[in-house]
Amino acid sequence: MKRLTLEILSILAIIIGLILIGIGFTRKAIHEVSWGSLVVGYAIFAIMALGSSIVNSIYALFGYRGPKMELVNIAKLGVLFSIATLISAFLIKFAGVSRPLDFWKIYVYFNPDSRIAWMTLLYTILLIFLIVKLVFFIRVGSIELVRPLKWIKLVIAALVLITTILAISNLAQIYGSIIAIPGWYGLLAPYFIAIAILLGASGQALFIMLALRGKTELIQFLSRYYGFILALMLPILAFFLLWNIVTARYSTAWLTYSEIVTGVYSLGFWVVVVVLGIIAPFILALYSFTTGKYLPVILASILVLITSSYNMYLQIIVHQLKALEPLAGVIREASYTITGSEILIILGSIIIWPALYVLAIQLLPLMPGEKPSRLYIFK
Amino acid sequence: MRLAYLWDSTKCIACMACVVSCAGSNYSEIMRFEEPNPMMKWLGGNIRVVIREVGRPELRLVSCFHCDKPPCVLVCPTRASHIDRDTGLVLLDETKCIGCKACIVACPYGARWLHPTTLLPEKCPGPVCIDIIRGGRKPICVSVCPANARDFGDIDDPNSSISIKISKSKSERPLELLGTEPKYFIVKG
Repeated sequence: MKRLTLEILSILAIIIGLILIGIGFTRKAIHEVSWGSLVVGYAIFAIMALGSSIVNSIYALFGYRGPKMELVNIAKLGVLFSIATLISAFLIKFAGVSRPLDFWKIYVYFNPDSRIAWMTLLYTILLIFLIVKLVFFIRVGSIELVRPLKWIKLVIAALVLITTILAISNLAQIYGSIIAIPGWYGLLAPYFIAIAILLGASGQALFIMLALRGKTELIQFLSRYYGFILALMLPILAFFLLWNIVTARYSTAWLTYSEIVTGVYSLGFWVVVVVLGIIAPFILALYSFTTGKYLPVILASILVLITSSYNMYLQIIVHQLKALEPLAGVIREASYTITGSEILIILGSIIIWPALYVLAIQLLPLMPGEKPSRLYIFK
Repeated sequence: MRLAYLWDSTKCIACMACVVSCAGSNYSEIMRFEEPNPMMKWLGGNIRVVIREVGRPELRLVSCFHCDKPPCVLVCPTRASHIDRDTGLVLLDETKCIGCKACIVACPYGARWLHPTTLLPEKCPGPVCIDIIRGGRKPICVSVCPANARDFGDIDDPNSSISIKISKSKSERPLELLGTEPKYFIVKG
């Protein structure tokens, strides 16, 4: 497809996505739970962006370039993926609050005790660092860096990774510090780090390998590379998931965990989260790692993205459905059904996500070997 | 000054005057809705009734307990939820609120709810009661109680009616183990 056609299509997709978000926002309704699917969607995008930044640091900070500089060649695409995903997260977050135009008040009336205030600040800083990193990579190209530039690259990469780890820790604190919902206690920080790396690697595998289609040798390396990351992280995620369940078994968190593990959500949990979300992608990723075939890792990535979204739905929403009414010693139950408004907002963000990625690839020199020729950073 | 609420469970006749008057006077604009508080399938007011069903049925009234260490104030990113310096009450500055709903999630008592038209959180004291309290009078739920089961006043003043009732009776605060230090006293005997 010609470059101009792709540019027009991606701009159209962004406009359609924004319209859907706008329509969804004007039709928002009240749920019996406070944080619904928009918070799930936001968490998925935010965690994926953070995970992608961690995966990027394998080259940018820790220096692994691949046998034929493959990771050097995809460095810009990896940073772009983090940026596009983080912007989609912000879009859902804006649409999720009742007064998105007042979002600036978080910075002006900043409450240092609030994890949500820190979350907003950290993601803003991360977005700025990621843009600086992308501009730096575009300007210096994919060449072997001379010493001063190498240090600048390391400093930027370190700042991105530190902010990323702080942001994941913060996200875990947001849930873990809420005493009203015991189901959110537990090993959330390592669990979120594991799920972030999985989602980041899966998203990159899909987006980057699709952008590089036709470059057989590079695709073969990336199939092994992302296959290895997925095959490594899936058992780690399973371990943390098991640990969370075992911990919950002996606390009030079992009130809602029991619904997930043995109750009405158990079929979804065991089939979607465990079989399709951990076991199946592990086998597929391992196969890609050993053979270098791209199709299994693509399939594994799609499975991880879909099943992790469902897993996050269980983790965020189901724990709000039952609460101990402490004054009366009875259980207060709530119900939740996703609304049309939420579907529109999530759909709009999902459409904008790849559109931003495609548009940036058309405008900026991000593919292997491309260099800027206009206005310092454009093709 | 630290203003606090008191509910005498031995005097309460469960007439619901406090519940209805809170909703009717503070949120009259949503009384016409079938479900003015869809979050709790309840009236659009700041007092919610729960029944303890274990053993002999007992009634409990849930509203904001104006904690000295309120989780809702800690989580609020814009300081919209805050402790009022003059009264010690937990208040919500709607001009600062962005509607992230973190305060509703964070309250362990389930005392906050979402207004169906503004989509912003609501809590005790409601808009009308805030003006009444600032005028030096007692909130509506206290003044309408026919059994004199409710009280409101300064617990830092040993001569206030609430302080005298607390000192002369056996009372407890809801969920003291959580460490939120609520300023709401339930008289049990």
